[in-house]
Amino acid sequence: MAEKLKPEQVIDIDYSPPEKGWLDDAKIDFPATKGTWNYAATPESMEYLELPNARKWQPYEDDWKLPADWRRILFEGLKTRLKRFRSLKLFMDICVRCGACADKCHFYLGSGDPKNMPVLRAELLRSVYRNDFTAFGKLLGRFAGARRMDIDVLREWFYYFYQCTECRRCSVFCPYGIDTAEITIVARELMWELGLGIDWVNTPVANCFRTGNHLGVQPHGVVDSLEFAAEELEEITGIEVNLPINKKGAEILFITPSADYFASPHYYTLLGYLMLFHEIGLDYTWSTYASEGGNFGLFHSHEMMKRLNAKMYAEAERLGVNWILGGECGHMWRVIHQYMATMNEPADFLETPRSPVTGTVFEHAKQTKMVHIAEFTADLIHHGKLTLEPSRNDHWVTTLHDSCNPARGMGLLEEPRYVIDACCNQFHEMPENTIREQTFCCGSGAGLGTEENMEMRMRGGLPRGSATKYVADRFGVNILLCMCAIDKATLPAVMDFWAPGTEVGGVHEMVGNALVMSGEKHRDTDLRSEPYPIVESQAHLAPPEETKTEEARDDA
Amino acid sequence: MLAEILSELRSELIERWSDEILATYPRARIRFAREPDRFSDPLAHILRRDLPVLFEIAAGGVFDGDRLREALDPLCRLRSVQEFSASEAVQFVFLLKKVVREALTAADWSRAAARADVLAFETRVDRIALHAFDVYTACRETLHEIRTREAGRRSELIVRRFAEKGRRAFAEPVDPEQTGTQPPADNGHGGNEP
Ligand code: SF4
Ligand code: SF4
Repeated sequence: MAEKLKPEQVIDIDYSPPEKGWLDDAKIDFPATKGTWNYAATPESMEYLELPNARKWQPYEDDWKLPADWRRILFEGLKTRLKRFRSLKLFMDICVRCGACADKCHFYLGSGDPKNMPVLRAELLRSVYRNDFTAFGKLLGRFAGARRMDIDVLREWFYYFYQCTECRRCSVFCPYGIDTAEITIVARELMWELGLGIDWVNTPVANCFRTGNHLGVQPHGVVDSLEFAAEELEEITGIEVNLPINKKGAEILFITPSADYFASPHYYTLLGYLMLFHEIGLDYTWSTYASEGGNFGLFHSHEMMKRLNAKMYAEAERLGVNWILGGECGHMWRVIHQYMATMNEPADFLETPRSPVTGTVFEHAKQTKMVHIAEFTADLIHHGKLTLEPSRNDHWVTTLHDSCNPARGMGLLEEPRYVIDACCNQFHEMPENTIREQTFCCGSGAGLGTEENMEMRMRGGLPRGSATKYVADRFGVNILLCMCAIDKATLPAVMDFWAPGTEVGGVHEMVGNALVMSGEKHRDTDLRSEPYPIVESQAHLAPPEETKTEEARDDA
Repeated sequence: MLAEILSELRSELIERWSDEILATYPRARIRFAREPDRFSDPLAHILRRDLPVLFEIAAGGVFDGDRLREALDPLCRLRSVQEFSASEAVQFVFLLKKVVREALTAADWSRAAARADVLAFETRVDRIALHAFDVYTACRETLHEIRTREAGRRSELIVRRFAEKGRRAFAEPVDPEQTGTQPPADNGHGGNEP
C-alpha cells in the first residue's frame, strides 16, 4: 500500500531524478520505436548546404556510416562551443539537479519516459562534458555522473535531442535559468558535424536557400498563390485588394511563413493580412525572395540560423524599404528577438519602425527594425483605425494557444488577446498553468512536425490538447487560435486526437472576419467560405435593399 | 463474501491497482505528492479520476457501456501513443484481477461461494478489458486517419488552386508549363522513406 503524504510532508519530496542506473541503459531500439523518431536528412539536401558526411542512411540501420574519427570531431566541436558560448559552459556546470524542471516538459508528461525530463535531456550532453572536460569526471567517471561517448550514447543523443521542441518551458521553472533548448541546439549542431540530422529540418533549410521558402516553391509559384488569394478575397468581400509584390521603394516589407500561402488553416490568416493592409492603405510589399518567415535554421545550427536571418535583411536592403513587418510566425521571432543582435550586423540601413497609420514609433524594435503583426494591429485598434464587427465571429467560441516563440520567446502576451477581444465576442482562457509564460508547446516544433513521428507528437501534444478539451467541455470552445505556422500545421492533428471537434485558426483570420472594409459587399460567408448563420445580432449587416433585388434578379 | 471485501477495501485496492499501472512505466517516474493536477501530472490525474469508476463497474455496478467507455478512453488513448504494444497497452485492466487476488486470504479462497464470486468478478473484468481493446483500436485508427489528413492540409491550397485552374481550363486553355506552380513534392518530407 502506497504511503499517503500529508501536506506538510510535501516539501520533503525527493523530486530529483534517479541517481544511478540511467546512464547505463543507453540502448535505443530504433526499429522497435517507430513512430517516435524522424527520417534522416537526404544526401542531396546535405550536399546543397555543404554539410559534412552527406550519405544515405537511416536511424534504424545498424551502421550509421559515421566518419572514422567521429569521437574526435565531437570532442573538438564541444570544446570550441564551450569557448564560444559562455552560457553553455555555465549550463553544463551549474545544474544542481533540483528537479524543478523535471515535470515541466510536455514530452515527459505525455510519455512518462524519465529521459524526457529536461534535466536528464541536458544530462545526456553533460555526462559527456563531465567525462571530457572536468577534473572530477576524468578522475571519478561514473561516480561523478560522467560517461564516455560511444555509439550507444550517440544514438541516445539523436533520439532524445530530436524529442525536444526547443520550447523553453523548462527554463521558466529552473531557479538558475538553465535553458535546455540551448543545450539541444548545441547537441544538434554537434551531430550535424558528423552528418547526423533529420530531413524535416535539413530539406526546409536547403529549400529556403534555394528558392527562398521551405517548400521550395519558386518565385512565380509564390506570385500565383498570392493572386489566387486575392481572387478568392474578391469573391468573399467584393473588393479587389492591393497586391504589391517585389515593389522597390515600398515603405514596409512584409514577411510571413510560406505555409500561409499554401496550407490550411494558415491561408485564412493570409486572407486576413491582405484585407487589413488594403483597408489601411499600407504602402508595403511582399517578396518572392524573402518568401519565408520561418527560420528553420533555429532547429539546425547557429550557422544556418544566421544565414536565413540575414536573407530577410538582404531583401529589405535590396528593395529599399524603411522597415519590416512580420506575420504570425514562431521561430522567425525567436531568432529576431533572441539571437539576431549578436549574430548579424545591426540593420542600420533601415529605420526605426513607425506605423504610417497611427504614427506610433515602435521603439523596442529600434535594433531589429522589425515589428510583429500582432503589435501592429493592436496599435491600429487602440487608435480606433479599424471598423470591426465582432459578431461576424459569433460562430467561433475562441481560446488562445500562446505559441511558445512569440509568447515565451519574446513576450507577446497581451497583444494577441487585445486583438482577439476586439474581433470576437466569445473568448475563454485555458487554465493558468497552460498559458502565457507557462504555455505548453504544440509538441511538434523544432522540426518534429512530421507524419513519421506521430506517436511522439501526440505524447507532446497531450498537455495542450487536454487544456483545450477542458475549455471545450466547459465553455463550448470550438477554435484554438495561435500565432505560429508550425502550430497551425500541427495543432489540427493534436486537436483531432485529444480534443476532437476543435478547429485551429490564426488571430488575423479573426481580424479578417471582423474587419468592415469600405465598399465591401454584403458578407455572407466567413473567410473559410462558410455561410454565416442568420442571427439576430447581424440584422443590421443585412444587404441593402437594392443589392437584394439585384441578387433576386440574378437568381431569376 | 467478495462484495464485502471489495467494498471494505475499495480505496486500498484502487490505490494498489493504480500503483501496479504506474509500475508499467519506466522506473524513476516522479511521485507527485500534490493533488494531481491534470496538467502537471496527467497520468496520475487520469488514474485518480477514472479508476474508481472502472472499479465500481467491475465490482458489480451497472454495466453501462457509455459510462464504461468514457472512463476507459483517457487511459487507453494515452497508452495508445506511448511506448506500449497493443497487449501491454490494455494490460492495465487485468492488473485489477491481480490486485484483488492478492488481497484475498487463504480462508477467502477456501469458501466455494467466494470462489464463484471471484469468477464472476473476473468475468466482469474481462468484459471491461474487451471494451478497452475496442477503445484502444479506435484510438489507433484515429492516429492513422490523422496522418493522412495532415498530408492533405499541408498542400490544401495547391490542390484547390489546381482544381480552380482545371475548371478555368475548360473556358480558356492554359499551358501547364506557364502556370509556374510547383507542388511541394520535393520537400523530402516523408518522401524519403527508403
Ligand atoms: S525546451 Fe521544451 S521540449 Fe525541450 S526539454 Fe525543455 S520543456 Fe522539454
Ligand atoms: S536544470 Fe535547473 S531546474 Fe532542472 S534540475 Fe538543473 S538546476 Fe534544477
